[in-house]
Amino acid sequence: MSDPDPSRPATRTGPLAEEAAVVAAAARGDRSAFTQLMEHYQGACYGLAWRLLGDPDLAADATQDAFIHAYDHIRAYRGGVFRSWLLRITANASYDILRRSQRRPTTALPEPEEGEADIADPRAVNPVAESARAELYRALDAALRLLPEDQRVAVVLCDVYGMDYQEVAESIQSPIGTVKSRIHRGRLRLRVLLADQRELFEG
Amino acid sequence: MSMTTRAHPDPERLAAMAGADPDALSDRELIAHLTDCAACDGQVRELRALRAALAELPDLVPSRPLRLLPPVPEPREAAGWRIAFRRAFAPLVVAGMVLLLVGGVGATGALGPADASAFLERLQFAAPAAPAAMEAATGQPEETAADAGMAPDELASPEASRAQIGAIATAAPRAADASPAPTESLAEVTAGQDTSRDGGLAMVEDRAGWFLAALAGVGLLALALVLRRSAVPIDRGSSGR
Repeated sequence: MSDPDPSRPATRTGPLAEEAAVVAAAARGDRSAFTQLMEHYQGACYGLAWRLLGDPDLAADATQDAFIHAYDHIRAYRGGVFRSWLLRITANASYDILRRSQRRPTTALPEPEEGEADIADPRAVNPVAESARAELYRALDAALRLLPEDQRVAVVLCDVYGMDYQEVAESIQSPIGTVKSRIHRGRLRLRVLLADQRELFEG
Repeated sequence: MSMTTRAHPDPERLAAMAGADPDALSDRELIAHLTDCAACDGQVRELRALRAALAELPDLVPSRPLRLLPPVPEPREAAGWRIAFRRAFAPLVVAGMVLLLVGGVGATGALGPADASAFLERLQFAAPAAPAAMEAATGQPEETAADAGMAPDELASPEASRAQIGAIATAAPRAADASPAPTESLAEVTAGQDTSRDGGLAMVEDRAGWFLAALAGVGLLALALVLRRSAVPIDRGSSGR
């Protein structure tokens, strides 16, 4: 496993300093402003894509697609939290790839292969690899991988990235009732999968 | 009946409650059950803790450097040329293929006489020369139906008609060549044709038009390929993919 890089993000990326001004500059066509935004949020977008797709290369492709879409549509951005806007685009790009990859319906992701785990394992990108927190993240990501695809997508978008039912439904083009049911079943299944590590997230 | 002895709610309702689903939060019966049932209440707390932990999952570093910006758009003029090339590609290929096909078929003789104008000329001369040809072929002056003593029925019979048409058809081209000197025999006419042209060379000369058409087709196809290559966009990618 590769050594953790101290420059790698350990937690969620917060908003960029003077983000509104940077976004406005990017919307006017300032390429360096757009680069600044993408550089800042690439970890968030890639994390979402990886958790939806479970494959480092596909996740990188989806993130790349999302950046191109964001560049083409940034003038249509109408305020709100920029991170959420970008994550919705990433979710759509990831879901498009997921549909194309013919791995539906409802299959759990395969166990990570040798080498892939170095990238996928949060401990590998977390400077506090030995801490209980890192252990918790590893356990959660491993459990998410074991969920059926439809439940995993819904739980990741709702519980990991904070989208509401409506946003999830639009991203995966499913009725809200279906989305709710998938989320609820996914949570229950995660609880069972993590039964042995309950103390990690209850502490 | 007390709440604790009542059947437990559907686990999905508990999961909804853990996620602060508005429907679950307004479900008085569910809330009352959770107040009295420690098992269900504990399950909801556990699910809430799980959600809180999921919401903390960190961002990840991409597995490879990402291209943060799409490629710079090409200058308008260059893009215009490329568009024009792309538009010309399909018509050029079609024209090239058609010319190649027609020229190739014509050059190999599948279309009949080598020179289309000569063919038409022969057709025009064939009709007036037919009586002379009949005479040349049979060695006798042409007989009319009445002279030959044929009954109208015989004249109209298919066998008679076919025989007559066959004789005219085989004699007509010869007659066209022989018409300047109608007294020449059939053997002399055909011999003159053979000796006036030098085998393959004569054929190539005759079919030069077809060969040129095929050659033009090849040229157009080559031109289309060159344009295609020059219209392929240049990859300005700077990383990753």
